[in-house]
Amino acid sequence: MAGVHIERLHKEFHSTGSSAVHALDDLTLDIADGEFISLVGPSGCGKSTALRIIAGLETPTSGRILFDGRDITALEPRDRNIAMVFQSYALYPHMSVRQNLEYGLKKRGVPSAERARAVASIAAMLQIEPMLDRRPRQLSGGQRQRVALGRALIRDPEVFLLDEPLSNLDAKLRVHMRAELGALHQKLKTTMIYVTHDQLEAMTLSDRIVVMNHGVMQQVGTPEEIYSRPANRFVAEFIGTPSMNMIEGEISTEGDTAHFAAPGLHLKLPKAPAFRGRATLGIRPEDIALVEPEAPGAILAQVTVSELAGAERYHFVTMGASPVILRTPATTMLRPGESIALALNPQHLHLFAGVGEDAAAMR
Amino acid sequence: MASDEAPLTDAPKPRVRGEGTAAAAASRGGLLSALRDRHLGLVLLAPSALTFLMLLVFPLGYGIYTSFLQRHVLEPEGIWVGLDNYAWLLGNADFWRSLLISSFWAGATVGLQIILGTAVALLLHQPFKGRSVVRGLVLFPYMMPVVSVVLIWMLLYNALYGVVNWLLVQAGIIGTPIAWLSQPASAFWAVVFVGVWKYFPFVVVIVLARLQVISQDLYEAARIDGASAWARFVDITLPQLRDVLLVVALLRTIFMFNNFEIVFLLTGGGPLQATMTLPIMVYEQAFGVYELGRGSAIAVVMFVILIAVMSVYFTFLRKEND
Repeated sequence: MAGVHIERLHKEFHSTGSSAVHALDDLTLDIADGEFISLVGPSGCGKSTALRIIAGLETPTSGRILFDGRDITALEPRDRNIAMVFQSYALYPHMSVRQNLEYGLKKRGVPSAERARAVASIAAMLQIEPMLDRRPRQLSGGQRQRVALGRALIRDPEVFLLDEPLSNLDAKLRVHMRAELGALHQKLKTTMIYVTHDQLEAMTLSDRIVVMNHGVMQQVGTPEEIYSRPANRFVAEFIGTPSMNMIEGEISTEGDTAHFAAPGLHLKLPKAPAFRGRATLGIRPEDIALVEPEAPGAILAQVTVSELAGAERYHFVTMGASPVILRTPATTMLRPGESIALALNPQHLHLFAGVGEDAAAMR
Repeated sequence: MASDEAPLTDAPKPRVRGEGTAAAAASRGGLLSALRDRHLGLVLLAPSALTFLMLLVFPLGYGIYTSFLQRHVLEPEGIWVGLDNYAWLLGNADFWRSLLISSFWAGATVGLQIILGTAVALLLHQPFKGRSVVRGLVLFPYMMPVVSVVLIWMLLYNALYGVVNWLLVQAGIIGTPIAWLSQPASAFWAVVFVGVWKYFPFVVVIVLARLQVISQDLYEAARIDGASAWARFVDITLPQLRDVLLVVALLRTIFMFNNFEIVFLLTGGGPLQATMTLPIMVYEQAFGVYELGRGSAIAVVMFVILIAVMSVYFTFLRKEND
């Protein structure tokens, strides 16, 4: 096991006839020994590039990586003592499961008796003993996933790298494998760096989450911090389903009181922020409550459409001139066109200075 | 068991086709229509079946039939001689010699085409400037007509003014020019070289296509697993190419074993029968000495040999798939 220090990592891709693409911009990150950290973000955000650089499959344009203080930036992947699970599993199709599992050990000159013992132990742990002599194409998606994990585990690496390992599984199996992966980390306590575009995977598995966009780290923190105190509008909208509601408007002050005004909406803010002028107000769908129209501070809104999502229901409403999503239990029925009154939980209002994706949170 | 239980209610009996008079009439109509459908099917099948029979089965059957005849210009109808032509073949040293030369010719050209084709495909799979142009140029020998290829190589091999001799003399490899196609010792390999040069691009195209679909993830996984570049080639590339190389080997073997024009145009089977492959022997028997029956017998033996090669291949393939 090892702690990982990533220092000012930068990666540019050049292709003929076009300008350089900045895949990764000045990434600095400390990952503690035994930590499970997720890199999350939309496609092209640089999360896979970062992982591939840590693996040694890509060379950084600048910056360095240290494992327990040892600079491994220039080392070949095989000399880094890492293991990686690929999105496609990358199992060798012409080899049996047993051969797949022991390949890494064989290439490192581990004697055959020792390899056999390691294969038996990993196969027992992952419950893949009956399929040791099968080829990957004879396995189901979940079984392949386990073999891929086994191939990574067998070498007892210092750092585990997982590149969207669950995204090829169907929804039910994904939930199951997610739980298994979590349990595996609890058991092994190995440093795991996990890349995903699925925020739910990141939230449920990670000790900490790194949110990335356009090659730049947007925020790093525990799942709770990322969810309840997003650093900017991008993080706020990316984490959470449905997304946080965003209303663009203006902050003004009247004496000691601050107000947020948007077309058709006027709100008194619970505490005066340091910022004045154009701003974005964010509120999560579960922080909006249905109230009686005569309740103090009630905001009138009109229902556009309601969607049932199992145990809960999402209502798309127009509040003032802004479209907003509201989350209620499935039993709350609202008709399209119905006029309702809403109250925003003042403790859970998020204010962002300015408008647009980069608008930073006001603390 | 649910299926053993009696139904709870008397469900209406489903109507069965053929029940009652009207149903019987309908059934008769159905039978006629079925017959009509069957005839229509036959009519629609006929053109392709006839084409198949005329273009494939008839010539093949006629060839086999001719191999049982003594047939030449003086006896155009042919006399039934049973297995005499085959008996003649088995006792003929020239036939055995030609069979050996044909096997060596097919083995050497196919083996070298695969080695050269795979090597070139691996090179062309690497990124470099002008790769597309080089990929196009490599196909040239395969696209050129055989006659042109033969003429070019006859010029290149020429003992008086050929470039091959000039280069070898300049390089100090040989002291005096060699008549490559006129000496039994060199003619076979000179012809093999042309056969390899002409057809190796076929292997390049197929292998290159396969190389391009091997997942990069496999190589990356192997790098992380600690495999060196050579280990990645042996453990990933070669096994991934294996199936396609087997198909290529089968196709090229059939093609080269039957190949007539390159050898015939370059050497005519000589010198001193050093390049007398079976197809040339068939030609010699059928159109040189006008023994059509014997020529056909050789062709039938070639056909049987190739069927045997294919059977071995498919048996092997089936075992692999199992």
